[in-house]
Amino acid sequence: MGGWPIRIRVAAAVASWAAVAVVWRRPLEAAMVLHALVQLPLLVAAGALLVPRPAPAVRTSAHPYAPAALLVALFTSALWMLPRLLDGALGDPALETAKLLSLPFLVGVPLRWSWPRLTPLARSFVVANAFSMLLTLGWLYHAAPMRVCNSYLREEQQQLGTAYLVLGALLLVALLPRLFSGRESEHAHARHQVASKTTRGRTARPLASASKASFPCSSG
Amino acid sequence: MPRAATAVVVAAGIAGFALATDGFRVLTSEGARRHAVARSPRVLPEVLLEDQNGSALRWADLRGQPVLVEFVYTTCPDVCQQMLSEFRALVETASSMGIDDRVHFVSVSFDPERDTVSQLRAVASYYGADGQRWRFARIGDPAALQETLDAFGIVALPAAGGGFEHNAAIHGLDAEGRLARIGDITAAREMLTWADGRSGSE
Repeated sequence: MGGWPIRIRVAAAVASWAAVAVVWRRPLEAAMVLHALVQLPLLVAAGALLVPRPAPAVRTSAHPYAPAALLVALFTSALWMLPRLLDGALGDPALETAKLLSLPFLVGVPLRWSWPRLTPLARSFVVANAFSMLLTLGWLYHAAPMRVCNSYLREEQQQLGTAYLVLGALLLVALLPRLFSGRESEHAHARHQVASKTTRGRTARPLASASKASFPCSSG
Repeated sequence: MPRAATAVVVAAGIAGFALATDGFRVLTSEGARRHAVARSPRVLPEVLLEDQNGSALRWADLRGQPVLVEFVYTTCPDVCQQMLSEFRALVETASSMGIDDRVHFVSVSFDPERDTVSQLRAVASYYGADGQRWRFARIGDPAALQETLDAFGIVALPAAGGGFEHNAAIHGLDAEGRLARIGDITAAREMLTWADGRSGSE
């Protein structure tokens, strides 16, 4: 998908954004689980579509600005997890506009750009935190005796909590085999080889492809 | 430069969180409305209420003394019953403290269709509301009701079984009739103390 021509990517991004931010905005925001788990991720995905697929060599070396870009995405996405903002966006047009624009441009774009340019340790850190955050939020939303959002019923809050717990469990299931397969060390070895070969002026392409296949958090 | 960029992002992120949480104080819109009111008392719209005796009531009629207000619907099976019981206990406490002539209590229904005057009168009688210091009231006009709910920050969502889910709190109006404090129903006594502190020497 990232290999599409720029015009196609922009058209796909605009169409995706318009679908969730304009056409289906109200139905998606009517239910808490759709708001948090469909609209918000699709807004992020719309922004990610704008970023072209990186050249293979990019995936073998960390970019110095990748941590800053990642932090932009993490801070912005964390802000939109605050019940106050999620709730407030429903009744405040300025906040709603901020949500509809910040998620694609301040989460989707920097996350998609930075992900292949991060060190494996940084990517693993993000994935591990996503896992723990899903479980924590899931338990909180599932067990909280009070509503955290005035605009949604407690039953909807519990549904979202359950969905977060299921997503956390699925993430764990997806990662467990790789956690214990030892592929991380193979990947690190491959990276080291690529780095030395690149230094000697030789192509890194074959090993870069190998690293993409083996690294658990590698982006497509 | 990359480190400087990271530092700028971290600083901006922390500032963003401080802004979104009113200085790391609130995480929910319920917390935000309570904090906003405490920081800046809110003038209420002048709407017409109708009490359990069918008499007209306006917030302006109660000016000069603090008022504790709660929003309920009387067919509510759970939290509203708790709120009304808390109000009954507060009225009794105010009486035992000798301050029952300094504080007004108003239980406002946001379900005027079912909470007719006769229904309010029956429920008021059950809870011992005298119609003077503690009134039950309804707002019959839908636009005025919504305006009032918006001013107070009450969100009542239709729920299964024909009921509502709504934010539950005790609202304190100061002697000028402004919404100046919102407290939890589990800390009702604090709201009475707050009201007594604003009742002057009357």
